[in-house]
Amino acid sequence: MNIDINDPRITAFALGELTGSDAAELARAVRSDMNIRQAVEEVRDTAALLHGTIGGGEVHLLTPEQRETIRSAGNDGSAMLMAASSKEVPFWRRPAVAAIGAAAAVALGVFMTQQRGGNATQVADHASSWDWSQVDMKDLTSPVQLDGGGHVRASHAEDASATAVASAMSEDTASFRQELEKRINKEDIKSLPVLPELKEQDWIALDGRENMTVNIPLTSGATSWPLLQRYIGEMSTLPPSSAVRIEEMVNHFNYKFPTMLKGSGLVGDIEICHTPWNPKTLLLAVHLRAVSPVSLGGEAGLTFNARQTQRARILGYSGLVSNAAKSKPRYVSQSHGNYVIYELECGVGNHPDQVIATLQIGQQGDELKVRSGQVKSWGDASVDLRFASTVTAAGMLLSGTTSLGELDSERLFSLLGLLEQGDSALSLGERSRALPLLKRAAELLNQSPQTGD
Amino acid sequence: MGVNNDKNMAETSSELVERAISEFESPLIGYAKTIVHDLDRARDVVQDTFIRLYQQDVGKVSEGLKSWLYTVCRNRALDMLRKEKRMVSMEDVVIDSQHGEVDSPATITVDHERTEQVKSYIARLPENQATVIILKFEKGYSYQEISEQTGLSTGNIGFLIHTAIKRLRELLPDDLR
Repeated sequence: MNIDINDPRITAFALGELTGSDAAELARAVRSDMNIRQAVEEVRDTAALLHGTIGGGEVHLLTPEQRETIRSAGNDGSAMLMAASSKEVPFWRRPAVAAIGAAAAVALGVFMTQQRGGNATQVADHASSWDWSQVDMKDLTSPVQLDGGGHVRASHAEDASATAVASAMSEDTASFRQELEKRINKEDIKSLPVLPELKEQDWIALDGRENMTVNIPLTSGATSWPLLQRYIGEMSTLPPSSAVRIEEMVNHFNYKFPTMLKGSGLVGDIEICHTPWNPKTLLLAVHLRAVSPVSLGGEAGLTFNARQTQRARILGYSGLVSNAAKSKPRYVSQSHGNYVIYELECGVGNHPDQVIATLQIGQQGDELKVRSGQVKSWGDASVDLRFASTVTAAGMLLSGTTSLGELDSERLFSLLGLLEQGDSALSLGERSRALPLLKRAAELLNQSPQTGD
Repeated sequence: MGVNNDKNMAETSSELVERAISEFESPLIGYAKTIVHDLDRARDVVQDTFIRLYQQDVGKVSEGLKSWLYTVCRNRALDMLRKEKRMVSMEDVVIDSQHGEVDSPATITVDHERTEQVKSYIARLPENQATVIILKFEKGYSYQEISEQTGLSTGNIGFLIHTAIKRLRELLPDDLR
């Protein structure tokens, strides 16, 4: 049956609102009619935009490329190859774990029998009312064996856990999901990898000689903030300094879209203010993003004027070799971008027109100068810079950064208090959840003070 | 008409996967994310889950599709977690990202400027279309829930959302679409 391109079921299908024979009919059309497939993909694109903006949240959709990869796998039989290539021995089948698991399964079987007084099927029927905190971690995370029809092969008491877990998954039971997430977090902490010691970035001395240009990092990793949440938020302890990456903490959060400078697929903002913990230095922030959703990065550089700047350092990015990525293609995200903070030691009493640093974006020579007259007090800086610099301060203390000036846990408390009082934007999203965590970090630091030079 | 009651029109594995993507893509990604703690990795897990669906007997798995998808997704997510703990150090992650081989935005929160832009285009829609778009994407309601809120039939809701999205696509500038 041909489906008209204006059929509203196309939109319903793309949004996951269609079920049964209508869904099957649309699925057939998507496979056989390029126009229908394109229409479905367009709706998903727009849905992703709407979820990510007015929905205020993450976009829980595959990328168009991923959907095409899935379709291709079905067309050329590579699904079989891909599945075959990933048959390794899972950790839960290792001997030690298996022994523990077997014991746990028996215990669980007894537990469930006591709880429900019935067989496994009855238990599974009531998965939503289970107290999952009583179930062993192994049983929560064991692979569930299914028959070809997606049904659990459970007829014996020892299979009861699998039946219950499968039932919980079939119903997407919230209580099961929450317990699983909580347990995984705990397990993660227990089994963290050995983290390499990080070497902080050195100061670059200019000493009035030659201007210095540095490449600006376009991306950051994403691991530090979740680790901080687990250590500080859940274990109420300070994380090891090697787990703290300032740039990842700063870029866990989103910042205002840059508009000051544009070139080669990038946009950038630059801002400078006094360092609230060091009267001798300034903080210079650069925020870069891609113009399109994900751009192959152009170049972005920052040139320090040697007449104004005695020395400068990037805050964070420990362990990286300077300019290492210069010749490699780099990607920068439009949705997130990268917010980078430098600390500068500058001369006092500069003429307001004197250039402190110049931001260059792209190959066309697009640049933006920041001058002495543009240096703001920290209190007059943008909400973004005040927030990012406070997160940076926390990161410096937690990572054991040197040259802290007057920064200590008391100063961090004070900055957090100022943010809380002054910035209504903090009431939105992740930032509001960051404050209690950073305050707790300051408390823990206060109990176990870090020392700088 | 049932999904598989006509032998001549029996659902193929490709069609089953397409239907599964439509219905379960978003909830599965949310589910995987609770395990792997990262949206990009969750998407990878779900992609792999759908690819594995091709291997299944359509006639059998179709009935228990939801159970099968959630189970495989969970198993794959846990497997990824295990592999990453063993193989990825913090150093690797950062150096890779510096080299641009991975782009791993940590969390996407509200971009106020962009949101305001999108809202301005929604405001140009007829009121009934703008209302259902807000209910669907800002409030996260299903067609059925919107129907209960507005008193309109789900068929009407479907038509309004379909028309509204088409119109929005015409209105939105290239850098937003």
